[in-house]
Amino acid sequence: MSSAISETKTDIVFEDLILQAQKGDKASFRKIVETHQRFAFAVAFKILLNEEDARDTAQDAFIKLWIHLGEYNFEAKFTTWFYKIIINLSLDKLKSRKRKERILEPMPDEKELDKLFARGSEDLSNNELAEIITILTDKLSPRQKIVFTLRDLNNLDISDISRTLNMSSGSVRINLLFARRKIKNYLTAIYNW
Amino acid sequence: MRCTKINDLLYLKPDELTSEEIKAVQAHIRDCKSCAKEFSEIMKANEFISKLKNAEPLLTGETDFTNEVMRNIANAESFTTENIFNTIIDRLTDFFTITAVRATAVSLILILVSIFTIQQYAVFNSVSSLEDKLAVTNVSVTAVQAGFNDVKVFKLAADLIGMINGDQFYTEITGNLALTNKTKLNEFLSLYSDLQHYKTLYSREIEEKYPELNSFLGKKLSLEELSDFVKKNENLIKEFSRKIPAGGK
Repeated sequence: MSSAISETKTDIVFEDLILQAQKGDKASFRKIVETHQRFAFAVAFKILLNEEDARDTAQDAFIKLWIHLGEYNFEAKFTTWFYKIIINLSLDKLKSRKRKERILEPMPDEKELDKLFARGSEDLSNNELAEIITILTDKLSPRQKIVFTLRDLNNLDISDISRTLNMSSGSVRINLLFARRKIKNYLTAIYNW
Repeated sequence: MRCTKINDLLYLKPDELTSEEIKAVQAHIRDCKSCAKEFSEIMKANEFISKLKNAEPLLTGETDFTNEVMRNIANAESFTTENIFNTIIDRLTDFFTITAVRATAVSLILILVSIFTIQQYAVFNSVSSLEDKLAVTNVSVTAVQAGFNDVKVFKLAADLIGMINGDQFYTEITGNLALTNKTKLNEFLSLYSDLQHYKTLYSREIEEKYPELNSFLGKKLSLEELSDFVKKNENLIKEFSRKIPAGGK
């Protein structure tokens, strides 16, 4: 009961921060940045798999948030609403990166996957995390890759993925199950489950 | 439900399935060993993926990150004239870093320089050839009064006269002229040479219609006197210039 109450109190305080920030109070917005910067970076990183790009995108997401904060009407959860801003910016960055990239980076070694089993995710460095996700999603088509990343690594709803990517829910489901099947078959082959 | 149909559903999570689909999957894997095995593999893979989902990449320099966000917001809001100017300069600089633009700009500059150089060369060339002609005509040049001290213009004038008549004519004219620039000299010589030319070609007609021209051209003249004469005798100029085609002297 007491944790529920304190959670409600936290919600009220946060709601107040947003209201103040919507009026232009930068001190309140600064607190929003401080409490959500890790979240923004994590979402961007799992899509972009690059620290510098993820940092830049997270920065841009907060600037966009500042500009559009007035449009937030408290109907959806704040993190869900902000999520979409970060994801859209990350996808734009991904597209522009693909246009510019000419040199293909070498594929990381499959043995990198063992680190996740051996050490758990808390002990992985950013590079190691990026390498593991790269290995796992290497066999996927671009659509399967992005659907898998948004759903299974970033926990976005199928309906939100459908809206963000401009795909039907049925198409999202099919790409998701194809992605999961490929990854499962790959891991089964390596670890002989 | 058949394996082929169930197999796809095995890969979807409960919140991605309808309640009927969930019941169908549960019922099928109870009876089908093959699908049950596959389902077990899927669970292991999901566990693996779940660890990745829970992994939190590390954001270094969190305070710097926040400061940078706030600074960018402040910069975006202060859209001062200086910022606009700097933005325009930055955009122009960026524009000129585009290879095609740079190449075009350099080509244009080269073309303009070439045109200027060719023009200057052509002028220089024509002056040089005039100087060469003048050296051949053996003109003796008398200095003109009052600030007229450009030797090349002398030579130019002498050349024009040399084409019309002899040296004496020239020295008589320049002896009386207080010319201050090449334009006035050229103007004078051009007018004078036109009249001289009409007199030569149409001497009888001019004697009959414009007897004063003969005596006029025998005098020592200034540019003003010559200009006045031409103004008063416009008919003369019109009549005889029609008879002589352009450049046909």
